[in-house]
Amino acid sequence: MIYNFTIKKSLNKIILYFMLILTSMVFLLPVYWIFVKAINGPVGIFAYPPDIWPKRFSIENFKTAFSTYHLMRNYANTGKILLFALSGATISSSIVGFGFARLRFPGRSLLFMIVIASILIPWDVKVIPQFMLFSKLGWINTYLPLVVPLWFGFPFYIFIFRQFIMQIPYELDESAIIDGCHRWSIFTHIILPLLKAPIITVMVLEFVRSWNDFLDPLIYLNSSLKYTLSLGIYYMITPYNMDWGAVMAAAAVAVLFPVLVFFFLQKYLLGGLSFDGLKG
Amino acid sequence: MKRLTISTQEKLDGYLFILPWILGFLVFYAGPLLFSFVVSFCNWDYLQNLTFIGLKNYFKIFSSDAYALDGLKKTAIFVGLEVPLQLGLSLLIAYLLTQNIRGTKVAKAIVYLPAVISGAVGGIIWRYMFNTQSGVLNYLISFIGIKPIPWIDDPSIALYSIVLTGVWAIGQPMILFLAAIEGVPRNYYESADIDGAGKFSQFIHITLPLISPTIFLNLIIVMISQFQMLAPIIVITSGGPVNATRLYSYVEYTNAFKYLKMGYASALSWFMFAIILLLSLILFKSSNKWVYYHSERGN
Repeated sequence: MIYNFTIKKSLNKIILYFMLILTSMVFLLPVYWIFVKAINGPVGIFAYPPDIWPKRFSIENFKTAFSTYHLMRNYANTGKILLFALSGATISSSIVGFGFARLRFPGRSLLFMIVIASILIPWDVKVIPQFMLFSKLGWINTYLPLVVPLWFGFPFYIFIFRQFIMQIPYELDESAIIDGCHRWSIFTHIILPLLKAPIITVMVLEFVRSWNDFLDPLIYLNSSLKYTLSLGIYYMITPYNMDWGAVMAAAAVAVLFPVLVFFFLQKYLLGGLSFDGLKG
Repeated sequence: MKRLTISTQEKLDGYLFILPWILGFLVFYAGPLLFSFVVSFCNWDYLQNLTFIGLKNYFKIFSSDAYALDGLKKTAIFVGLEVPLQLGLSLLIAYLLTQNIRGTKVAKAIVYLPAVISGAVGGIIWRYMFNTQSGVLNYLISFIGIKPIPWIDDPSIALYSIVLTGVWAIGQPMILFLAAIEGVPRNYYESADIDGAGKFSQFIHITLPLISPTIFLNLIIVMISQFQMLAPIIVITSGGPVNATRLYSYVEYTNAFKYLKMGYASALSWFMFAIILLLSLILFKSSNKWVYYHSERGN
């Protein structure tokens, strides 16, 4: 009886481990494949049957990607966008989040409902009118459409900051008010230093979002000098004479940064998404 | 208790703090959306002047544009497959990851990983792996005796291959499920153990009802995002082969940014918005019946 029970238990464990390993392998395969094909050199790309384990090693694909396809320039362009996107989204969203969390004014809950609702507005509903607006402003083929809206508070990040600030005891603000502090200095001197966790969360989320943004650059940027990483990789695909080796090398370079950021800061990213990493 | 009345100063400060968002909302959301609603009743190819044509754009969706109706059907199939597949699989994996075994942290990171990879790069790697002759997918399935599948070359298969790439990117719903399952109080299971309820019955009768708010949240988020799914189509198939993957969102995209028919594209986008809104409302209404909030305050 007890013997049967232990067998059943270890059989259960074996099945669980088998499923865990299978799931991990299936989900990892595409990313693994990028790296294998990238380091396999131009010859390896045509190998059939494909080498599941990398048999050759060559940096030739990376050389082509950097020299022929201006990977470095695209990298720098993405970097520029990130710099303004990250700073803008964090600064503006924390200020607005503070307003919603700490100050009382008529219409506050209605306005906050609109913030939440605007998270759900589909991209294709807003992209057409935004495109018309930005082209009227002469912003086509600049980074402004990708960056400027972020300086006016990004709804989901406003939500994150508000939730976090609401958990900070109000007594902190109150005693400062009695001392004659203005709200702005309460925000900058008392609350802001406590916002390390949500600031990192918002920065990681915005990093991933901006780095991976493909549709907006596709619509707004048309000169190859302005291409971002993901846009540059997309345009490496042509009907003729396509160099899959270089594409895989570029893809490897493009996923390396987000993968590293993700592995080192996953606590903040996953916490921000499941809303519970922000507590306390 | 002391602060029953709000001072004018506080009200003013409040509006000042949220002013950036108010401006941004008016300029980048409300204004443009209102304008596009007006434009959806006009003929506007972006170069010439606006001319009011009433409901003609909306009639066109159902009558003279073969792609739009067909795209809507394909989008319905796509969303109809993607939503249950993504929810089911992410729930299953989240459940697996909450089991008391080693390696779940690494597996969690791996399953989430696709969510930090861009639509362009993700699309490209799938396109490469889908290759009928030399792709790694056909090579791998040959081991279990399956003949090569023309993943994206065959019009009758291509749409389902795109569905597959979506199922790969379930990191976000999985993480939400994971947090919800971990939030179920341990003692519920303990008392079920004492009553002799099996694992499966515990999952059906304890876990599922208690995480139903998260199921509902994921249902809404995944449904809305799948209706708009566009990047993989652009990168992997460009709507082909023979229009097999020309989803509604792709029809809308080409009308707006390839043919610059802004009036018609606006109508297409508002029609889609109306469908999403209607479905969300139906789901919200139905949620009273199956979503169980176990908050002590009794929501």
